[in-house]
Amino acid sequence: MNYVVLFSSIIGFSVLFFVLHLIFKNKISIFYKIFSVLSALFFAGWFLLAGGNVLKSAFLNFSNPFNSKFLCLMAGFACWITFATTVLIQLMPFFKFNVLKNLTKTVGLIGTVFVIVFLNQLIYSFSKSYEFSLLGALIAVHIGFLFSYSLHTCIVDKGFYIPKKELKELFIGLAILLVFSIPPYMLKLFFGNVGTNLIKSFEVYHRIYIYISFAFLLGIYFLLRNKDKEFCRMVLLYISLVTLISYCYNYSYSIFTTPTRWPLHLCNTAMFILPLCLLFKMEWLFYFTLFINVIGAFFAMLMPNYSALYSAFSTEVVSFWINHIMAFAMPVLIILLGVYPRPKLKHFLYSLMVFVFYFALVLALNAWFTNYNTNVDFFFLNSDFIVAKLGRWAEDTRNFIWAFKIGNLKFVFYPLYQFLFFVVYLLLGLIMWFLYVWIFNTQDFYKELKNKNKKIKLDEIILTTKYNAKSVEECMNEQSKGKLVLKNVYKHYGNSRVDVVEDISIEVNEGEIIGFLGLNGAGKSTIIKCIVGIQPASSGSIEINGYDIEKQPVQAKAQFGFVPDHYALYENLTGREYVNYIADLYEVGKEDRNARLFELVKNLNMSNSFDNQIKTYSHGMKQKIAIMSALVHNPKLWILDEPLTGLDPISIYQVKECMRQHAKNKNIVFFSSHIIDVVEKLCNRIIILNNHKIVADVKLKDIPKGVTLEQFYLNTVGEKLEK
Amino acid sequence: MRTNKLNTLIKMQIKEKFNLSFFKNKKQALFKVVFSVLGFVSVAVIAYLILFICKFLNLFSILNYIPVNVMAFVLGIMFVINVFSSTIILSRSLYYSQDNQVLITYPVNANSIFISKLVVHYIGELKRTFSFLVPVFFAYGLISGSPIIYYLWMPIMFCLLAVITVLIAGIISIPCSVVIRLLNRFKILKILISVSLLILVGCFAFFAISKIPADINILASWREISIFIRDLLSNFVHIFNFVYIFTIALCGNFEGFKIKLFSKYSLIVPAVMLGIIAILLVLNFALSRPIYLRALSSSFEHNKFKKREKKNKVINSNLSISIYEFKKIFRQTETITNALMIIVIAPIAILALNKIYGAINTRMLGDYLTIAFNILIILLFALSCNIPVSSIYSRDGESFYTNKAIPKKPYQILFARLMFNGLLSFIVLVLTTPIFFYFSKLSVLNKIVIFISLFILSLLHLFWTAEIDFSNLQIQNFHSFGRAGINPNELKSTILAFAISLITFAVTAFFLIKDYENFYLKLLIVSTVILAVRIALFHYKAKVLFKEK
Repeated sequence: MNYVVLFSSIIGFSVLFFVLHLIFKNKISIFYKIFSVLSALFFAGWFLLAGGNVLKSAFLNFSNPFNSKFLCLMAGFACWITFATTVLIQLMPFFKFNVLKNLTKTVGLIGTVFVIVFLNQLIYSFSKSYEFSLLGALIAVHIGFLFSYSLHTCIVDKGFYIPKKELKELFIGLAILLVFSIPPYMLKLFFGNVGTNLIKSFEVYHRIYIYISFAFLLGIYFLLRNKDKEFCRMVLLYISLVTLISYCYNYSYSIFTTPTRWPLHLCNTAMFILPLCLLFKMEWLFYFTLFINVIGAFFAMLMPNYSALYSAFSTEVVSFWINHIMAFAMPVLIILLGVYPRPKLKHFLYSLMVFVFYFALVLALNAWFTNYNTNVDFFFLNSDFIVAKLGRWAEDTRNFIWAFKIGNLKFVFYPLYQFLFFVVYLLLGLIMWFLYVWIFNTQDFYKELKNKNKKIKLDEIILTTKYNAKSVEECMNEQSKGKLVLKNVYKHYGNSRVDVVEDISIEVNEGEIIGFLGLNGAGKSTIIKCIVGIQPASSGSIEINGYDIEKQPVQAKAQFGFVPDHYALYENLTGREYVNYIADLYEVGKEDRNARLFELVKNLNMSNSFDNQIKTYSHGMKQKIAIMSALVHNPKLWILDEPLTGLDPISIYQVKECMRQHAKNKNIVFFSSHIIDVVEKLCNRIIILNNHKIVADVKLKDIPKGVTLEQFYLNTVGEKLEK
Repeated sequence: MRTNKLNTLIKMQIKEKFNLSFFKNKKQALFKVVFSVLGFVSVAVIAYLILFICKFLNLFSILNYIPVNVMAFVLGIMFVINVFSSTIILSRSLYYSQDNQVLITYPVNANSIFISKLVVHYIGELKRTFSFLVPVFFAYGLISGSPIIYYLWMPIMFCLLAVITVLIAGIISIPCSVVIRLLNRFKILKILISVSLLILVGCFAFFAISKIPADINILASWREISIFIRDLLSNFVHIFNFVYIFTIALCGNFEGFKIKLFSKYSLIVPAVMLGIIAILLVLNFALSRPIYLRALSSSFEHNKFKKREKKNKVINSNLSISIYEFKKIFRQTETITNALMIIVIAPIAILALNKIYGAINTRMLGDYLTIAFNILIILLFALSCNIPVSSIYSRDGESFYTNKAIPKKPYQILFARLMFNGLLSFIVLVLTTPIFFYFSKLSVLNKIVIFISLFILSLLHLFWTAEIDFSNLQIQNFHSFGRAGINPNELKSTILAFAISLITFAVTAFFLIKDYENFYLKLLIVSTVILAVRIALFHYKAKVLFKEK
């Protein structure tokens, strides 16, 4: 008879879907949504009517209601697939993701075929009878609907074909679909009474469950962090709905008439609040779970209130952990994955208001319902469960009692205990606020870090592709070999919109000595720092001897020697030690090193003090050490930032000679200075910077005769000033 | 005009030394206030608990209360420590701070600079007082049932006491600077004195340890112990009567079982304090006037000697950074002295601890706690070697930026600087763990596993601290002062060291009591995984952020 009802419903639903599809092709989604809601209500109806499942107390190897291990197993799988497919099909019309469609076509269709084969066992597990009954008929209709819908989806979507690129998502979806929809009695059914007396007080199975709760949080986060918000909402909604089914398996209609059994514990409320918040935007409720439920669930996981006599896989224990893992991890996941915006102060206040309301409600209900059932203990406000763990001093707080009668009903309160409970919970909520801020800051930081790393890798790929090079270590641009090339370089600091240098384009060839002039604050040092890699340019490119400073930093830095404006040296080392240290970093060989240092020490007159500590040197001597360390590896490009400031005339002469010699050896010397006379005598080309831009780039020989460099500079800069 | 200049000097230095930017941001200000309050409350709670336990055990009195002489003892010890530390800090600030080179060139007399430094230091001293002494005495007030006015009176008295501390430190810093200059001039003298002191401390410590009885039964000898403590307190109060009188003026005295806050001392003591302050001020002013300027300018003088010409050495570029880092460190006698101190004190402390534990007849729980405490103390010593790493990059000052122009990958530059501290904590572990193992009944395998776990935890702290410095460089602080007066990175590193040590202690104690198999192996695996993650994160951050820093 069940099969008659089943096939009738299959035919009926199939015809209905076919007709609707023909008539309302474009508006069919509205009907799917209506069917989804109706089927959800229908499912809830027969599920609550059943009020439980015989498999809850069954074991595969003994106490088997089917007298056959195989049938018992199949019944378990049938329940499992029914739950999974039900929620899957409920979500399908509301989310337009291919993975849902693919899962419906595969798991939905194949799964429901499986359930159809073992329909009688499925019905028996709920109705506890093979006789035809209303419940059996309802279940058959429901399965018929699931099958028809899956088949219809398959037909509409051109059969079983699934593109290769969607297969990975399908398998991950399948894993999530099955893992989270597992009924709470399945583990006990398969494995029996494992881990008895090991499920509390941080014994091994207790710890395993705690690890699973964190693994769930982290696993889902890392799986979904790169997906869009809507996809994340779908997955989390699926998980929350399917775990709600697992949680509710013990409940039937009678719970509505038995208030003492209402699921009003804090973490119980989370099971209902979370799906509601994911379905509808309910800020007040959601942030209540975020600030209040999470911490409550965490403590509940540390101090579970089930009996230690239960086994690790017993239905009660598994239900407990499903409930509390959801209450603990889901609100955090919802925020981290961006489904709800991050909490602001107003949300914290909302949550406090809801908590006050909940607290007051639970206080009143505890006092009232105790008259009918002394075991009523919503939110542990009525018993000594928590204080017993804290010690005598806490138990003593329950000695303060306030009781009164209304009619035949006695209302008992523990004002001191309950007040302290409230205050401590509020403080914990505040602590959660700080904790969340820290988590969000950490999340943002690592997200930004990841994006920057991606950009670095992308730049490398673009570079190697652009120049057909095999690796980043090769010289990319042969045309820039022997040159310093800046192209359209811009630089701004932080989030400022003001560019400190704008559109800088320079090309310097070997043998040139470039004088870089400009007013204070024009951007000279900034450009130099961008060239040497101390600061990254905001946009544009800088190539040194064919190597890009941004994308090939190590290789590019080996091409130049840099003398900064403030001789940043390690003053505890001697001059010789410091220069040798720099030479080691540039991998200068012994012979070259000895030869160059001999020349440099002689030319710069440092023989007497080269083996003294740098902290005993004068300013000029420190500058000379900086110069020597910049030349010891004979770089192609020698960059100096105001190198002559504070030097005596002889030292200035010595440095100039070094620069001339270096350029003569077909190298580039690029230096900034304020001493116009030196620039005029030393350089063969000057670049003038003003108001963050290059205003002149001329060879000295091109300056009109009779005009000194000083006049030229002042005119160039002065003209701009007047404008 | 003079007062204006002094005000300007004070404001300038306060702005530079104390980061007051959080006032502009309400959220930051709220965080700062909340954390300060939490810090105050934490210290007060711990002090309260300790006092409560002492009261409960009738440690200081056969009657159930904490007598004032206990707080007099605490105050006396803390005062001496504060004067000592203030002298060191103030000496550095007065004579060796980098900003002196700029301050000395301003059109202000040396006295103004001296006084401004004292004022700035006073603010720091107040902060320290309110972080420790005030919460401790706050807790004392709670446990003794002091009247409400006590909680207003006590901070005012401590404000006055802090002035005296700073002024005394100011006076002592003058001869101190002479001694420091002498020691800097004759480095060999510094080394000899340091080594001699260490040998002396070591000998004294071994002598004291040898006096520990072979059998300690605290319960049986509780009466003798408490009598000894009470006698010690009485003698202290007898010898240092002025400290006792000050404490009475501060906290009041017990009349029966009630504490009476105000007495004749409440007028006399503050008046005397004000008088002492006046005298110390005059002394500071008078002594600093002729001496300070000279002392200040001579701090920046260096001796020059003709050195023999040496040869150029070629070292592998990857090792070069580490080797030159070692050279720099070995030329800083302060760093070497601190390292030697830890190397000497750590094993002595572990030996004393284990001798005491060995003399106590413990049950199994006691044995487990002994192991856990040993791990805690050893870790604290090992991790303290890493705290200087919290400024390993910042202390280069502007020199740090030249690292970015070097053709080396960021991790090569950053990681290579950590070798000295890593080696130091390894040495500390090598010296301390064998002593612990000698007294314990652990198997050979467990000993090896524990040693490796502790080393991995110290490496974890090392890399984490280095990352803290790299992520929040204090270059400007070091540039202005030569050292960061209040280095937030150092505080973070210290808190981290305590956190790692306490968590390891708690986890060890918990799992040993629960008698879990292979706990040590699990500790090793977990700490290895965390270390690997930490190193990977640091490497990742260095790669991505190095060029932006």
